[in-house]
Amino acid sequence: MNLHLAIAAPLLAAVLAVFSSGRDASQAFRNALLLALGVLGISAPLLGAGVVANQPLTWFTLPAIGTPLRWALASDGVSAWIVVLAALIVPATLVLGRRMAGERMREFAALVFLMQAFMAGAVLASDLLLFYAFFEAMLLPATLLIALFGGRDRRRAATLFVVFSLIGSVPMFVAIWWLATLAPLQVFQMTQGAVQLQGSLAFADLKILLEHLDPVSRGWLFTAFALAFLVKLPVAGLHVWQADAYAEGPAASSALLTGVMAKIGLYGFLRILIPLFPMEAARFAPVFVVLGVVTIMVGALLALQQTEIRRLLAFSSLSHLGLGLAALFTFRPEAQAGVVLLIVAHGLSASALFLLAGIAERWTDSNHVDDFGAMARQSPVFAVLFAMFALASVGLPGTAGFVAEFLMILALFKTQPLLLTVIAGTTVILSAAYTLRLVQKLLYGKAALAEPKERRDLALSEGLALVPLLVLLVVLGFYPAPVLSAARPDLLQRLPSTQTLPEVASHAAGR
Amino acid sequence: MNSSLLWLLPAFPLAGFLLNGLLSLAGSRTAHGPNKGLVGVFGVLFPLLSFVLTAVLFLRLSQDVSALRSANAALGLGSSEVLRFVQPLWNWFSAGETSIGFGFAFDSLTGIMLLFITGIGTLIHLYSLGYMAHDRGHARFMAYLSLFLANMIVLVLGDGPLVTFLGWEGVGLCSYLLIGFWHEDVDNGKAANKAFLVNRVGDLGFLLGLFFLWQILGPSTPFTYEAIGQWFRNPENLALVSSGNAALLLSAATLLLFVGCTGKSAQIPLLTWLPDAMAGPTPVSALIHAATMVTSGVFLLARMPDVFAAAPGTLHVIAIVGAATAFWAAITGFVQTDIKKVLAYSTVSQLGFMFLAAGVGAFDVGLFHVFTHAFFKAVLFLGAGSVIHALGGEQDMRRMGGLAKKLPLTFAAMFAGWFAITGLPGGAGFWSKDLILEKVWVHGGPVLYSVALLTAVITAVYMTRLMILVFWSPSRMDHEVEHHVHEAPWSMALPLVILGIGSLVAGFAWASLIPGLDCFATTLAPIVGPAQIRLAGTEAHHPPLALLLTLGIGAAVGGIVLSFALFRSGAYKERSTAPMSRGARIWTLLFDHIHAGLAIWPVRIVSWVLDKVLNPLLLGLVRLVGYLVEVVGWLFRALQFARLRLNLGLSVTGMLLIFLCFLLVKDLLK
Repeated sequence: MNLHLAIAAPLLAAVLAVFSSGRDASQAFRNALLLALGVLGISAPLLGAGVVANQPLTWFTLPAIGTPLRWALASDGVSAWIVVLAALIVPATLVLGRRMAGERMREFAALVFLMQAFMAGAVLASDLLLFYAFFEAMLLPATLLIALFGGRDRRRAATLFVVFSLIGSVPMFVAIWWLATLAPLQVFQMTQGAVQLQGSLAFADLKILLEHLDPVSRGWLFTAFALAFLVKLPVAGLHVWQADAYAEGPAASSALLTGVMAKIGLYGFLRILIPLFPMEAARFAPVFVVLGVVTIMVGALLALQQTEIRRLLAFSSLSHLGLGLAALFTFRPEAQAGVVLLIVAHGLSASALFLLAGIAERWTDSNHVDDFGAMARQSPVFAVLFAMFALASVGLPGTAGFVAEFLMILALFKTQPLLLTVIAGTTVILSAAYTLRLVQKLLYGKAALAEPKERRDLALSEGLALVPLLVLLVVLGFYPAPVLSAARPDLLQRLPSTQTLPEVASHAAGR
Repeated sequence: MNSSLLWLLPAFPLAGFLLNGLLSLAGSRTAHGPNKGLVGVFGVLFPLLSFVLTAVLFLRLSQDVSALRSANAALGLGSSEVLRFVQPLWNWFSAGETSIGFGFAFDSLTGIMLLFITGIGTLIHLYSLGYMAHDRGHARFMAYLSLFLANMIVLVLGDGPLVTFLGWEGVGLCSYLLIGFWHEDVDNGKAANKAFLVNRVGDLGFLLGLFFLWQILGPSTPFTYEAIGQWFRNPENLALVSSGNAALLLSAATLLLFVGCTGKSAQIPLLTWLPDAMAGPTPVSALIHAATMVTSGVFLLARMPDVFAAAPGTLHVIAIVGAATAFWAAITGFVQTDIKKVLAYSTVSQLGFMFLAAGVGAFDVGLFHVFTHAFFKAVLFLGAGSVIHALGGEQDMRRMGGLAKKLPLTFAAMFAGWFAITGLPGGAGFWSKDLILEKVWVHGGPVLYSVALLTAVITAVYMTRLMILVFWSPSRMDHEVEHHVHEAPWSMALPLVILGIGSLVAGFAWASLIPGLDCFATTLAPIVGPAQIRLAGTEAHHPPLALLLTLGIGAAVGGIVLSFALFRSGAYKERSTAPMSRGARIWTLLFDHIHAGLAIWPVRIVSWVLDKVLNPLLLGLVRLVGYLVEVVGWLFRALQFARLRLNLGLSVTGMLLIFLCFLLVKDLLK
């Protein structure tokens, strides 16, 4: 039941936001906040629902091919956590983005809700075509947020963002069309009379279809899907759009982009790519592990050099998610649990940091780290929150990030050459290096610019909007079972088991 | 034995942290800051509660142990059972075959550690009330100190390495926060960052070490100290890890764990952060960077004695690193002019002694030095703090002198500390250092022994130099400063007195020369005993005790006499007021240079190249593609697509084309 609601509610909220007053921004803000809390209330029960799926409805049939676009939704713990993660971040985004949105609160709220709806759709879809529709639809509000509310270079950033996303998704689009044309024929050839499979692109059916496809075609399809998710994540080499989009877009959209959208890249690997292409995933696993480890290093080293707050945070995200990618392709249960926890932990801490960075930038009217300083004295509440989220993002034990990193590095240790593990492990050191440098520049030292005339600190509402994220990070740091168990039962069935993967099995045994 | 009270031990100071933290935040907007009385009550009460609970638990444990021992004696059995209170709390996390519990365990080793951690911790909280009274951030300071205490208790009390690691990183965080406490000064912030980063290098070693250890144990063994100890006491398993691949894994595990120890306990090569850490307020230096946190490394070795005893190669490395660190730091301490820096290098040097002891297989002796050092180094630091406080912040010994008469109480306390650290007979350091030298003689060989003895001489020299420059030489203070010199308030004086007495008597917990006074050793025996016996073999050693005693006392007396000869007779002015020589500076910063050359600059250069060369190149490439697209788009515009936005137009066209292609392909397939 509430699978539909989880998508419909934010969509409805977007519509309602549009209809709220365009003149009275604070009225629009209050409405939006109430709606966001309502959506959170509707989405939260998903966490307890376990594995659920709805009865697929055929929406319409693609002309000439006969492949139906079906409204098929399913949720296991992972999708549920991402939906709830978005529902937690959205209220914080609205509250902390209030000052930035100013008179255009209504438009801002509508776009945020729209994005939330599409993100929820992407992770809940259990039909490839539906997934693709949502996956691409996310681009629209994201681009608009950057282009409407962004900084000086917002047009360039928006263009880069769109171009790159298209580079990623056009091959996926081609792949899906190919599959769509194949589906009816193939099914007809291999299982006469399998009525419910007829022409469907539901994940479960696709799995059967792909198993019977020739390896070369499957390789091409795999590459096309992988490329789309690699751009979304992103990995080193395809990351060029990221820093611009995160730094030039409004902090609020960066929070959503890094907090949830980037995670859909990881989710794509976890839920779609590896389960649908187990053979290819196993064969190309070393490539992805190395790509992940390279991304960790490149992200961390680039973060060390940045002088703009949000560029630094963007590269930090690059580095952290690289670890997720590398770990995922070890196919260890520890890694899957760790990745799901990373999705939640990094989503919470990184989006909070982006939102706080946005506030700080408004205060000083600068995004250059050297223009800050002494905020620990000037704005103690801001400083405490910023420091805590920063520590959570470096994976201090006692926060969820630690357990996630621990499990992922452990999985690398168990399956990969020691050198790769050590390189991945240096993230522990380098992430502390650039994060502490940022904390130092912002909070400590002397104020670089003139002292503010009046006290400026987070308003009570702004502090309160972030506290749930912080509490969740700490609670999950000591008791991550709710997230870890989400990764366990259903996903494992979808992922290649060691019996079917001789390479993986022998690799593990060889150590 | 189960005990449902263990969680309270860290919970008390944690409550103190939360209350004072909230007071600090709430008071940051008021004119006078938070209420000092309230902060003081929270600050001292909660650590005191932890101390009292520790004492109660320790007494109960001792009673049970002696009851068990007499019962066993009556039955004619030897006792090898370790008694402990345990409190498993919950399953921390589990995934796949990995499962980690969260729980606490309290045995005699934990008890001894906690007694002095909470005891000295309480005293230093009290001292801080006076020391930080005029600082606007005193509530924040007390909050951080309490948070530190909570984490330190978790480190010691954890029932497995991962819970220890939680406290391990937690104390690192508090150390970072407290070093950078006066955060308006950028240098303090840099020192804090350095401490955190160098420690994180060690922490990575710790984690990887745990992974290796885990690989040896297999996933079915619970990852608790109890289970690890049992595994490594099993003869079959010992035979397994004594050769081949498993031995290699064990060496890797123990060496990496030791890397973790070198980070936290400031040993070669990760020792550069500790001297810089003196940027923090002096009570912090006393508590964290002398008495408690920096000894965690020694604690970790003693926590898993059976593991390290199974890797004799690693123990050799530990002994050599310990001796080298002790010697290097003693020399460095000799050339410092800042009173806190002298004590900092002295701490590094004494930690080296502790690792030397552990490295020759005398874990209990190493811990005993941890114990005595906690008293005398705490009193030395607090005394130095009292001097600095009296002189309005002056730390340079070249601008001190003649303070023995002006600060009699501080002088008496520091004299006790000096008496203990130089190793004069009867002081706390005498007993522990003497034991270390004895064990090194027996198990370490002549080279290590000579280095250790020479280091003992230098220790006496630089500590006496400190006392001469601060207390016994004529005053070199400004008149303004001299006029304002004042003795510490009671809250600072009381801890000085207690710790001063402690540094005179603490050694009698294991006065090896006096029969019967060895309760320290017997308390620890069930935990470290089996490992030490395995290392030492069964044959009895009879070291030439009289000779060793003479050499040990001779080192102390000789060092003191030498120091007086160097600095007393009028020569102190030329020799000690001159700026540090070039050689001395290079020696002091030796490892900083090595770090810079081997790690920091390479990383900087690579990241610069990435940021300034490769990234723009990539961006340029993308731009090029963008231009190409634009040119194509321009062509399309010429073909009357002009109204469409570039990207939209392209993608729609593309999609249509692809769609058409598929229609064709479909027809062809038919």
